[in-house]
Amino acid sequence: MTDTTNPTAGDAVAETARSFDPGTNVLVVDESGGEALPFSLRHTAADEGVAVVTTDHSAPSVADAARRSLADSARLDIVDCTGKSTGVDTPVVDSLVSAGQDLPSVGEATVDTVQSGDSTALSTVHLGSMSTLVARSTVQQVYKLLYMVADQVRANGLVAFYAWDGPSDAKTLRILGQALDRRVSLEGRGEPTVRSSTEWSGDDG
Amino acid sequence: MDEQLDQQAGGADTSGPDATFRTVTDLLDSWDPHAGRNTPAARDLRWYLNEELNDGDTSVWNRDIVERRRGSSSADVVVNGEIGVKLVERTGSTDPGDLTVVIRLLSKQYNYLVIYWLDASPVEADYRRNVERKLSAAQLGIKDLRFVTAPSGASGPTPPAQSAVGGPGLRRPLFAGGLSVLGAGIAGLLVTHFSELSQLFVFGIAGVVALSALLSVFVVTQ
Repeated sequence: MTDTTNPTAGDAVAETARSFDPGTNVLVVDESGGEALPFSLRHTAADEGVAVVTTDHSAPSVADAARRSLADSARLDIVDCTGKSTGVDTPVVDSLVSAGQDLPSVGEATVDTVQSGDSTALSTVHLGSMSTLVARSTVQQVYKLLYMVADQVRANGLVAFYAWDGPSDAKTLRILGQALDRRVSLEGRGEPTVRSSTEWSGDDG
Repeated sequence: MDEQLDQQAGGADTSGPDATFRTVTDLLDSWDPHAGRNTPAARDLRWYLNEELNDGDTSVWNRDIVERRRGSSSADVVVNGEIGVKLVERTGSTDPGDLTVVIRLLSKQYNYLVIYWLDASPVEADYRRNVERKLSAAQLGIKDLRFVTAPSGASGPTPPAQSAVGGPGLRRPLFAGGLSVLGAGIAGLLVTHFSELSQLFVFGIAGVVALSALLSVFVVTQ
């Protein structure tokens, strides 16, 4: 195990929500729901690839939403962990992989995707949603998953967004956020504020 | 969310968060913080918990994440992000209220807390009782709170000489006084043997011996 927290945790937050440095893991809190994926896609370079790991929304609905925000030339991979593979043809998707709903399956599929980032020209990974994973298992299990995935994201120089949809519990977010580097709350209008993990660890949100 | 957590953590589970917490507290019961003399206690504890919790786990997804944290408002060692272990050194004359404030802050960051008393000496017993009486898991709004005291004999840093009753603090001045008396006696014998003014010197040396003895007694009693 590593000796301390994330390498970027505690640094002054230089990024705005418009750009994140490679190797950054961002918790996106979206209490109203439905905004986290568009946010992730808006913060992906126009011609770079995105992988979306979905635990609750079907692959076709993710593909529709993603294609509305991505450039036509941008690569789109989907890892379907909903356990409800529809078999529907999704021509706008470059790669569609089905994985189990359990946490180790979601974790392994996500890590495989991150590790293949070099060969598939991926720059961004979106994992949604944390709230679904916590409901299916425990905070500790989800923390372990985030810890392992975030480590791989840093090592492979990608940017990863972890969506929390729906009502949130301050302590749960604080616990999960310890494994990540930045946090963004999608509330109100305008560009959201980006905070480092150390900045939010002492507040109520 | 809290209800969800209650459901997940509740019941007699054998592999959930409650079971992990029980395992951590059991391991702390058998940890000797002063076994690794030259290693800071927090580093030693992280290593120990990591070894013991992950012994035999081959899948990375089953491994428990044991991290060391720094900062007064953070736990020293954290297991799976949710279990915080705070190591408390010798408290001296600090107000128990200071520690309860820190524990209340920690309760906002973790669902399970262990307060580990590194100093098991009886001198600290009142302080420990004072803190333990004031706090409970329900009061803090967390799943569980445990206090673990280091094995007796593991009482932190070596205490200063003057507080060690009957120890080196007492023996050192006695030894110095004895040496003074012996030195003065030898000097007196030499002078009486080689000098015509032996009478005068004998009185002088007797005075030095008497003064040394008095000085030794004074130092010891202080």
